[in-house]
Amino acid sequence: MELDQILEEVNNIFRKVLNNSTINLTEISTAEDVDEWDSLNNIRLITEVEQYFNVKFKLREIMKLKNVGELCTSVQTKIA
Amino acid sequence: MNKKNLSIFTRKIFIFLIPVFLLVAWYLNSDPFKVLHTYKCYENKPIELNQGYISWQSFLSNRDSLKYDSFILGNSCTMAYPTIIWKPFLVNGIPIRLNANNESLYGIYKKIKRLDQSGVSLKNVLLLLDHSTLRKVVKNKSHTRILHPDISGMENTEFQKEFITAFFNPNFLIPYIDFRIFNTYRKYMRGVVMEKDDHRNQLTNDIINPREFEIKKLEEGYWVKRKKEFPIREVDIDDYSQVIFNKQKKMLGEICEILKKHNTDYQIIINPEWSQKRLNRKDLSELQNIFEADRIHNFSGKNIYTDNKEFFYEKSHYRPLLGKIILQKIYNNKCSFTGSHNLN
Amino acid sequence: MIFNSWEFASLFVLVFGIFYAIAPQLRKWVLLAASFVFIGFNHWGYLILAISTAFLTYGSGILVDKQKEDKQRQRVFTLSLVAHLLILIFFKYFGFLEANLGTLINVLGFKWNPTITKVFLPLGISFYIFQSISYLIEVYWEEQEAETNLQDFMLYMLFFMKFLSGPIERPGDFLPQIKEKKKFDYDKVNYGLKLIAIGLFKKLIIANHLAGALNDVFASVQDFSGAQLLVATLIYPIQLYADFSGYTDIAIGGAAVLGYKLSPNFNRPFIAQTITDFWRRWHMSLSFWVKDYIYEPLAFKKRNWGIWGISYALIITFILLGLWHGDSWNFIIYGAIQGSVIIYEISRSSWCAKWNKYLSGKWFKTYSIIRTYVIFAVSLLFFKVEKLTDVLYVFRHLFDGIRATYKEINFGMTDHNVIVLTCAIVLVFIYEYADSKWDIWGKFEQKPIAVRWSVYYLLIFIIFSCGDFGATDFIYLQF
Repeated sequence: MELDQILEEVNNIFRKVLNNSTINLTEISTAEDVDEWDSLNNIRLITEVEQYFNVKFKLREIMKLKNVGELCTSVQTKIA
Repeated sequence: MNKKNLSIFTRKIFIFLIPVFLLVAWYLNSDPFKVLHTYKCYENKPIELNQGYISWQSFLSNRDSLKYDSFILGNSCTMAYPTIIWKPFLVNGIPIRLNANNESLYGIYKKIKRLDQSGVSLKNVLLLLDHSTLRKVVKNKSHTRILHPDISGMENTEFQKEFITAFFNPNFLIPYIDFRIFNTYRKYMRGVVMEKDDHRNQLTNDIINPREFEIKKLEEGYWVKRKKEFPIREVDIDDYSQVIFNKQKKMLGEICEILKKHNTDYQIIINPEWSQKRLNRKDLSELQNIFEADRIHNFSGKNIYTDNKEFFYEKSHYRPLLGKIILQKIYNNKCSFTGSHNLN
Repeated sequence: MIFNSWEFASLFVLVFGIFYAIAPQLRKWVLLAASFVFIGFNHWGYLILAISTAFLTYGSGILVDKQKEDKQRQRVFTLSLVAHLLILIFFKYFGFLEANLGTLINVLGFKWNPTITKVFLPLGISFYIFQSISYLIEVYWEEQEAETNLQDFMLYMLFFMKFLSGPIERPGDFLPQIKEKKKFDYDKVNYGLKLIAIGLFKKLIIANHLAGALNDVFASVQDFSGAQLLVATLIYPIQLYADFSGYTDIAIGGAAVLGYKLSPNFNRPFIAQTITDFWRRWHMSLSFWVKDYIYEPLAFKKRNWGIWGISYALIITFILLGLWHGDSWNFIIYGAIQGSVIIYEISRSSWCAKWNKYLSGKWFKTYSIIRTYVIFAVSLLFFKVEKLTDVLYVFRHLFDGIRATYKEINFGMTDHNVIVLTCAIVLVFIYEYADSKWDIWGKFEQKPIAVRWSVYYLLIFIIFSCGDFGATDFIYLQF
């Protein structure tokens, strides 16, 4: 899957989970850029991403992700 | 750049702290509370000193020559019992008044223990108690109430800290500076600077309340002038709430043991109060359990003494005039035992 | 040693003087020496334990990093973690555990007499064990390289400005600072001194005065009327805040004077509109610690449980947060309340957003702020009152005396003190508001020296004239 596609799907997931259709993530977006993206919602978001792409993350992997772009890359690696 | 910053800062801090250095130097030089050194003469001029401290200091300074064996203990109400009035009731007693501002049971307890420890003979003791004294069982470190280090065993540095802190408190410093510069007493200085001389006796720690002279001059006019200082009493006056609990019982018990050990002729007076509030019955019976009941004389509550304004300077202190009457009652009734003076 | 004491003031002035006068390579030794004096001042045992723990953490970190295999790494890490927890449990919770075990055994019909009431509680232990654990976890997670310089590590663990009651520093934030060369920074020192003054103001004028009145109330609730209990309950959060944020200000200010930046612990907690937000603003170094090291791993592990997983993680996290404060069921309940309210807030967050749309924003905001404050105030009863029966007594009597007199609810404080207190509290909140919106210190520095120095003298004057110097310890000293 291409990174752009993954980013788009991730955007959809974020919009759905955070109930905000105006969210527009880029590769360099982080939690600080999105109001509702806090530690409580973080788990929900990760779970949705896992379920949607049918992948599994380890806690340490999640912690090392610095932005949405790295999340997408990680997803891409796991799908492949 | 770095060094320049540091030197600028150091210089600024130094200049900023100059007033502080000057004040500290002034404090060390003038010793306003008279605690840095020992003095021959302690006068409450111009500053009201820690009464507990200077009374104990008088005791320490003169005990070798005077061999004190009779002690008056209590709060400022002890001013009603000058030693020259008490002495005639004693058999060859050498009395001293060991009072303290707002004296606490804790303070009295520590003093009696210390007297016992220091090998003094406790022949006679006059103990003045009331609701507010009995209530207080914790040590107080404020500069007006802190115990003499000889009594408490406190480190001298810790003791001195309280006073220098109090010195820097603007509530003290401003009246003090004002008075030292202008030498005029102003109303706001009350509690810090003494308005009038109290003629303190260096050997017995007796004082004469300056208001005695005012009364001599104005006679009944005094109580007209000072009407506001005698609040109107309530119609139904409640007793004080109980204050003697375990801690108090323990301290009172130990005091009694020491007095027994010395075979002391002790008398306990429950202070008469203008408010006419009575010491709680439970407290009174507790005292009677611990001490000999006929040595306890309860003058609190409504009685012929508390009814009479002329026995009081103001709502908190009564005059030696009343003190003498009380002593006569106590000591003359000693022979004919009638139990405690429940005048209620 | 406590911050508001002559001993500490002397130590600090001495350290400051020597620190900047001495050669840079010796500065860390000065700080270490000062830390040893500070920690061991009240009891040499505290120092021995702190140093031993620091050694243990230092060794564990290096050992974990040495392991090549994942499984070995995990084993060593787990052992070290357990060792650290055992230290904390032994000193802090042994009495509690023994008593509860005893009760359980007695219930089952056997006899057990608990012998140990309490082992002596070393100062600062909750804070530095948590700092150790955070360091170990970061090393294990490979977020942090194990520190090999013993001197640096000792200073990281024992730095006296944060030793007693935090902030709990992360290795990533504090260790790099220790390795930096410290130059005299005029602005930092200036800022630090001001912060210390503000901390003293909060502690001596607000916290100590309130403590005089409120400590008596909570120590014997049955002696006070319903109205007094209500007022005391509502005011206690302010006392706690003034006390702890005052301590934190002195800690951060003092560290700044020495050139170090400590993490913030408070961010205007009383404007929080939800308990969730409240814990992002109150005792931040602790709440972020439990979030990063307990909540997130737990919630992640149970992420397939959906909202139940998050709730499970929240309740465990906050119960442990409560328990961190002390060894009693009251603290557990205190934590559980926080967790429960947060769970409730998550579940109704969407519903809440709708309400916000209907009601005018300002009213809902005000209601939310008051609601959050009241919930926290009520939960603090479990924090402050020792016996559970007393807490229940307070609940039963909170609404007894709606028609109370002013004399009743001012707790015997003189009118003068009430006015001073009220002004001081309002002043602090105005200052914090202004500080969050504008760069007030920057603007202040531009004023002429006469104005600035007058303000400094005035501040010192106020602290000395209104401050209650009765040596009361900082509340969080007991943890």
